Formats: sequence, structure tokens, C-alpha cells
Amino acid sequence: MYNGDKEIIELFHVQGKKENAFRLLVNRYSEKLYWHIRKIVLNHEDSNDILQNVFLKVWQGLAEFRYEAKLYTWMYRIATNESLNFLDEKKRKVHGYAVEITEMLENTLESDLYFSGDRIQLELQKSVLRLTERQRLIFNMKYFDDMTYEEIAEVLDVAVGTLKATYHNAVKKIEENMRLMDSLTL
Amino acid sequence: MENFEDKYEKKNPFTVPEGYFDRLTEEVMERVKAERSPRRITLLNAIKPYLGLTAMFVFAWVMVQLIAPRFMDSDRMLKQETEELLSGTGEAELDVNFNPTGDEILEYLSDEVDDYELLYADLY
Repeated sequence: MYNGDKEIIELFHVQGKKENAFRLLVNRYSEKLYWHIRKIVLNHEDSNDILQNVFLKVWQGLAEFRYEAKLYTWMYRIATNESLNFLDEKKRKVHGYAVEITEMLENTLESDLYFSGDRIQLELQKSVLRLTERQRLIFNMKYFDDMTYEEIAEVLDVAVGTLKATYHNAVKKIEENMRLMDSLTL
Repeated sequence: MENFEDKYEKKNPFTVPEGYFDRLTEEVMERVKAERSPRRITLLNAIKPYLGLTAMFVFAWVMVQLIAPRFMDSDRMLKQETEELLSGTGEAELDVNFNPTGDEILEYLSDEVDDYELLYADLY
């Protein structure tokens, strides 16, 4: 029974055991990575495509992986970069206007077949979309993925102090947005 | 922060198609296997570029064999005739004593040039 990341990587280097080790890794992290990606790009199909690409990159890079970072940190970083690249590509298609990409993501959210939240949760997600990309990323990782500041700092390569300030500002901004939306619906 | 979390229930509002996570590992493994298995290379595909190149060389060689001798022969014949003329040998010998009279020239022209050409020459 292989439980730890280190054991999985050791198994990956044993001849003939590569696939078994990778299967253990996918089993262990696919769901976590999927939700991380989904919070960034929102759409299920896009998230699935990105996740497959992430695991392909992990497969290609795992032989060279040397425990300078934790395995899951490294995988989260790949997933974050792939998701942000995907959004950048979308932005380029709408000529780089942040407002338009926010609108596009809001539309994705509203028409998402796989969104089961109530009105408040929909408004919360819309408010999160109105944050800057960096604030949104940090807020999602802290609030929804329950990651510690130290873990987020490792993934994003940002100082913990900066993360705390960014998260605090993000929460303030979301609350303001929620108040504004409440007053409009009254 | 406590207020915020109390106010907005921390619940994942997103869902996935039924059974998605049950199939996910297998789907990822299939994709990885597909990427790492080398594409099947047929013999024809492997030699296709060389076939094209060979066909091009053969075509060029055939063209050279068909066309070049003609140019080479006509050049050789021209060169031979010029040499013969200059050396005074051969059939196309220049007659240095040829000195036709006016009547002989007129007779030659009436045979070689038609009446319209002569009329045209008179007008200008």
C-alpha cells in the first residue's frame, strides 16, 4: 500500500511500475485538482480538458521531479498555470478587455448545467468574479480549497504577508459587491 | 472573517456529471497511454518522402537524356558548319567569284519575291 507522495514517486522510478504509480497519483489528486481548476474556469468541459492536460504534463515531468517542492504544490502550480493560460486565451479572443471576460464568465456561471447553488451562492460566485484575477485565485484557494497561507505561498510563489492582505481585500470587496447586489434586488 | 464565513455558507455550488469522478482516473490513464504510445508508421508512410525525392531525380534525369542531346547536336552541327565555312571545305563553300549581272538579280527577285511586295516597295 502506497500512501505517501514520496513512495509514489519512488515506485514511478521502478521499471515496469510507472503506470501503477501514476494511477495512484491520479487517484489521489484528480478530484482536488479538478475543483481548483473548475473554480478558475467555471465550465465543467473546459475544466476536464485542462485537467487532462495537467496530468499529461505531470506524466512528462514526473521523472525529472526532485523534491524541491512538495508534489501536490508542483501539481497545483501546473494546474493554476494551465487554467490561467486558458483564460488568457479567452481574453485574447475578446481583445483583452477584463470586463468582457468577467461578463463571459458570469454568463458561463448562469448557464452552467452543473451549478446547483441557490441565489446567494450564485451572487457570491458573481462577486468573486468581479475580483482581480489574483484576488480571485487567492480567495478560492483559501476559502473554498481550505489551503493554508503557507501552501498558497508555495504554489503562487508569493509572500504570506501579501497573501493575507490580498485575501482581506478580496473579502471586503466581495461583501461590498454582495451588499450592492442585495440593494438592487430589493 | 468569521462573520463572512457565517454569513455565506461555505458550500461548493458546482456539480459534475454523474459518475464523473469514478471514470476520471481511467480517462486520464487512457489519455496518457495514447500520448506515450508511438504513432503507427506504415512502410509506405516511412518511405514516402524518399519516394518523392527519387521520382524527382528520375524525372530530371529522363528530361536531361531527352532534351540535352538535341541541343548538343545542333550546337555541334552549327560549329561544324562555321568551321567548314571558315576553312573553305565542305558543301557550304563561299564562292568568291560569284558576281551576278543586273538581269540575273532581277530574274532571281521575280522568282523569289511576289508582285505585291514589289508594289509595296515602289510606293515607299
